[in-house]
Parts: sequence; structure tokens; C-alpha cells
Amino acid sequence: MRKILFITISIIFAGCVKNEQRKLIESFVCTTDGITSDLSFKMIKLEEISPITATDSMIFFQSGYLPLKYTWNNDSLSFIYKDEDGTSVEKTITKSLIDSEIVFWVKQKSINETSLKEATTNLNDLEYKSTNHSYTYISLMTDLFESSINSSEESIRIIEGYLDTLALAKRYSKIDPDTILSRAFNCTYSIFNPVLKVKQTMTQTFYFDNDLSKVICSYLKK
Amino acid sequence: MVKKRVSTKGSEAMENVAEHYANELNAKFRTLNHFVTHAGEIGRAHETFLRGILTRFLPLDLRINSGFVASPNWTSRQQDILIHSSKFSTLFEVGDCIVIDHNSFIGAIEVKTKISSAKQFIEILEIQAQLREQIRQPALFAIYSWNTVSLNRLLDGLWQFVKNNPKKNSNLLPNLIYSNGKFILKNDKNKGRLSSPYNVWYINKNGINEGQALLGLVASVWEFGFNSVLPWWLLSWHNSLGITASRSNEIPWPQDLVRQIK
Repeated sequence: MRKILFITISIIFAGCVKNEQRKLIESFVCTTDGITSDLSFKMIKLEEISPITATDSMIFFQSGYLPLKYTWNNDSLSFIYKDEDGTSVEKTITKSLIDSEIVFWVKQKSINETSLKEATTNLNDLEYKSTNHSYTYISLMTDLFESSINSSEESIRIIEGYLDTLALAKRYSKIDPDTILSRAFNCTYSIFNPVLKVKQTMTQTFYFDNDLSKVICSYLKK
Repeated sequence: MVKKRVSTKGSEAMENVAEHYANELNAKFRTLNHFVTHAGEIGRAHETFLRGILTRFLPLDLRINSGFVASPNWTSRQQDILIHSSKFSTLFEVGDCIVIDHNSFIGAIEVKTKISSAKQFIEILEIQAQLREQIRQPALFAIYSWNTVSLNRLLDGLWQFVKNNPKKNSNLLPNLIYSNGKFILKNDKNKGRLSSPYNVWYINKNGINEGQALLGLVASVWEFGFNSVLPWWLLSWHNSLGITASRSNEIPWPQDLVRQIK
């Protein structure tokens, strides 16, 4: 009798959790820019896949891949991921690599900041010289300095973007490697597309925070 | 498990940054040519541009100057770009010109504004070979040209240089020949003496871009100058793992030369 009661309670509890997730996914799918539409959302299938750990996040931000499997050996981390054409690839990185990457890119950023400063000063100085030089000279030199400014600005933009992701990788490298940060579910659902006026069925991976109270992001499965 | 060519966020970011550097380098080259007509002045400015860009990539314990290499028995001709270790003291230094001890030598790049014929190319090869003969440690010997004849004419010059003295000159070929906007030829030091001496990467829409080619030049400092593995940000040029490294075609020895260099 006790066993039956336990199983019944478990099923009811699991059902409640699933229902809660269904609502969160429905809200995520049906809301765009804060506006929620009625898309006749129907969940067909929901299954949990491997949770996302601190190591998964570290690898993702350092390498750009979400690993299928990883193994730590002191500071060395080996992981397997699937690349664009579906091939399994093995790679090994170290925690200290993140630090050396940060040092390298900070130096590159500083080099570009110096170039930017120099080119901007040169361009400003050119304005004072404009009365003493021909139009051709001024226009050629303006093009040159603008090209240097553009090169430095674009390089700084690329470097800063990459430094941001490295900072995240560094943050996750400090957390206990197997700590679960988020949970992932594959969900197959149908909606009524109001623009195309057709019913559409799709399978999407949804990432929840660890206590399953919020959908963080989602990816459509190919 | 497949061991295949990979890229990382870091190496991709470096390729993007290098492309901007290459554009900047070309803009400087174009602007200068509008103003300066004296060949010597243009040549010096081109060396300075290239040195400025290379400095951005190389470790802080390296120095890049123009100058001479000296030993107790010989002194080289002036090298356009001289890469050397700062661990050794310099023998003489005035302005940007330097005389270094042969032990601190890591590499030399001959910079040419224009290579207009196979004959001129042979002269450049002969000048570089004089230094190469004297250097015993691993080092980079490269030629960088802003404007070059076609690849076929350049190869004519290269093979002729070897034919002039097959046994000796086949060991004195440059490690890298960079033709701005056209192609890059690189030696594979892991291959045997009789296998293809060079691989060629074309700089165009179907090949590699100028930024990737610039990184190829930087990678060769590690490969030939330091004789060490490439840093993570040059992964794209790793011989067996790099994506850019795989986009090349082999240039074999001409049949008649194979017999002569055996």
C-alpha cells in the first residue's frame, strides 16, 4: 500500500514539474519582445538531456564547443565534441591556457590602442596643416590615417569581444568542475504559425537554470 | 576518434585581427607610393611598415631591426629585417641600424618593393644564400615582395638558382617567399630532401586572405627561427592540425633537377 502511495505521489510530482516546464517553454516560445501571442502551443515530447556543468561552460567559452564528454587530469582537460559535419573530435586544453590567452590579448589590445591614439593624433594634426598642403596630399593622408584608425578600432572590437568570453571561461574555471549550472531538455512541440497560417512542429533544445525556474536560452535542432 | 583539422575561437580571432593589420599595411604601401619616387627611400619605408606589423606578433624578448650579422670570421651584408634575441648584447647600434652577434640571429627577411624578373630573383637568392651558408643554428630565411612576377617566372628563377650549383644551392633555398596579394611559398622542413620543396598558398577568393598569409609569415618565425611548436593563436598554420595550412598545393622539383640534387 505504502509503495503504491509513493509511486502515485512520485508520478503526480513529476507531472507537476513537467507541467511547470511546459508553461515556461510555452511562454518562451510564444513571447517575442515582451509580447505574448496565442500560438496554440502543444507539447508533444519532453526529455531531459545531459545537464550543463561548470566545465561544459568553461569549454564553451574558451573553445566555442559544447562537449559531449570530458575528462580532467589535474590541470589538463580532454574533451570530445561534434563539429559542423557531425564528426567527433577530441581536444585537450589546460586551465592555464585561459590565463595565457588573456595576457596575450590584453597585450594585443594595448598595441592597437597605441596605434589608434597615434593615428587619431596624426589625423587631427592634418587639419592644422590643410592650408599648407595640396588637396591631393590632404586627401591621401586622410585616407591613410582613417585606414589605420579603422584597423585599430576593428581589431580592438574583435579583441574586446573575445576577452569578454575568456573572462566567462575564467569565471567557470574557478567553480568546482562538475557543478551543475543549468539543465537542458529536448522538446518537440507544435504551434500555429499566425503569419503562414499553418501548424508547425519542431524540436528545440531548451536550457533552464539549475532549479528549473527559468528558460535561459534555446537552440533549434537541425 | 578522428584527428582532424580544427580551429579555435582564439585562432579565428587572430585571423580576423591579422586581416585588419594586412589592410593597414597595404594602405600604407599605396599611400607612400603616391608621394615618394626614390626607390631607396620607398624600400626603407616598406621595411619599416613590415617591421612595425611583425613587432605586434613577436615575443618581447625578440628585437627587429635592420642591420648586420657578425662573427669573429665574417660579417654579413645589411639585412632588411633582422630578427634577433635580446638575450645577447648587441655589438654596435646606431639609430635603427644594428650589428648583432651571429649567436643571437633568429631570422632575416629580404624585403623587395618589386621583383620584376627571374634574373633579379636569382640575385636576391644569392645574396641571402651568402648569409645562410654561415649560420649554423635553426633560423628563418624569408623573402617578402610587394610586387612580384608570376609564380611560374619566380619558380624559373628558383630552379635556375639550384641548377647553378645543385648539391649546394638545394640546401640554401629560402624557407618562405611571400608575394603580397598573390601567393606565399613555404618550405616543409619535415619532408625529405627529394620530396616537394615548397607548398604554395594563393592569396585570393578561393585561397587564403592577406591576413592569413601574414600569419603564415609569423608562423614561420616559430617554425624555422625558434624551431619550436606554434603558439595556440597560430593553430591555423599548424602543419597537421591547421585549417589554413591544409589549403596549399605542392610544388615538386622539376624532373631534371631531381637527378642533379640526389
